[in-house]
Amino acid sequence: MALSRGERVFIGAFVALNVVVPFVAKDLYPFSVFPMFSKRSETLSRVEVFGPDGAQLSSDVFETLELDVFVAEPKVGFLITSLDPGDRALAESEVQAHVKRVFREREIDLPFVDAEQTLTTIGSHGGVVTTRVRWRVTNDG
Amino acid sequence: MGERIPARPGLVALRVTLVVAGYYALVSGMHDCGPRLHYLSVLGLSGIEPCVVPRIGFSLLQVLFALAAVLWALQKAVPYSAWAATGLFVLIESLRQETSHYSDHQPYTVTMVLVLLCAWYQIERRAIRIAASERRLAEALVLPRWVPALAIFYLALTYTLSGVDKLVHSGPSWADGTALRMWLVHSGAAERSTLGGWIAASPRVAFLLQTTTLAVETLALLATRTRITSVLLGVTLIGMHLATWHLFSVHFFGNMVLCAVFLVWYPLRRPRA
Repeated sequence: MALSRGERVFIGAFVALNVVVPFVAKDLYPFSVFPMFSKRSETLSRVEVFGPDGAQLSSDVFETLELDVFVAEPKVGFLITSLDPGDRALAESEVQAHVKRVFREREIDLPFVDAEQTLTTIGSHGGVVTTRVRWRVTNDG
Repeated sequence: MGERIPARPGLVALRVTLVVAGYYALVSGMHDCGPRLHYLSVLGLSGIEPCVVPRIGFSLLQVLFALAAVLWALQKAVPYSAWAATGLFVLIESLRQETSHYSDHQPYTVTMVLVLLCAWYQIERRAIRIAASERRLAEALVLPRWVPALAIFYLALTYTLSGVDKLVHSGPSWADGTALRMWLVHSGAAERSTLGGWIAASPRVAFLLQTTTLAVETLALLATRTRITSVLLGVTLIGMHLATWHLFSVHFFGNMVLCAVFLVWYPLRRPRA
């Protein structure tokens, strides 16, 4: 039994959208190439921010989202630049400038925060090595 | 493809898909509204601010979705209940994506399968109306072969796209085992789980697992060509999802159920062409 015109139109549109849109937009609900864990990095990074009481603060507010693991190099969508560089060590000047900007722009009323970067790499002996670096950033505002 | 078969397998698939959609739509609320960070859905491209929808409005959408889904599952008010359930599900998940801090990929496949099942009811609406008026909808409803065939194609396509994206980003070296060992340590899974610790300490095992993953994902579309390979694909994918659930707490519950229904159960029971 042949397909009706409506069936042919729907099947064609369904297949075309699910093949073309993911390649163009990469990740735009409900279309995606499902890019989680697609990037093979030599170094993995995570940046976390802690308040004066030691509690972890929002990665949304401090713009430290770990974008790289979920959507490596997104084509659309993200309106922010994360402090987390994904695959390299941060310099202290980068951390100070970023967090002070967040303090200023979001009017955050904390005397200081601690920013911590966790780096995971392959060591010279072939094993996986994790290192942590922590910086204190004071709120001048 | 245009051939019609009794609708019972389609109705089973529909009801299971609606249960999974209900899980995603009803269990989680909208995320907190902070500064706008991204647009992660087609709704976001429209420029509509997700936070114009108050929490009570979001809860109302959830209730309306539940009503429409129950009506659809019971074959009442179709195809309107099908449109309503599908449209409300897309809206609810778009609002959740727009207020999330990263793409939550878990409801994507459920969404597309709902769209596909809704199209089945829309295209068959005349037959459905006649059958409903004669109170024999359950017996008279037929399932065009393209509906399950397209669901199987779509599910396999998502995995093939994911495999191809890995090759585009990282090349075949993605599968050398390094990345898996690093993710296990970086996420803490190597410490939390005996299995995770073992894989992280075993370069050969990590290589084997990543090579298998890349091969299965990239070749998924080809595997749907026969019943046997389709069932093997479904079982392997469910196993991979269970492993990532255990190791990384990433639970693609919807994908597991849809793979079980469309890649394992349906190929085993469908009449031969």
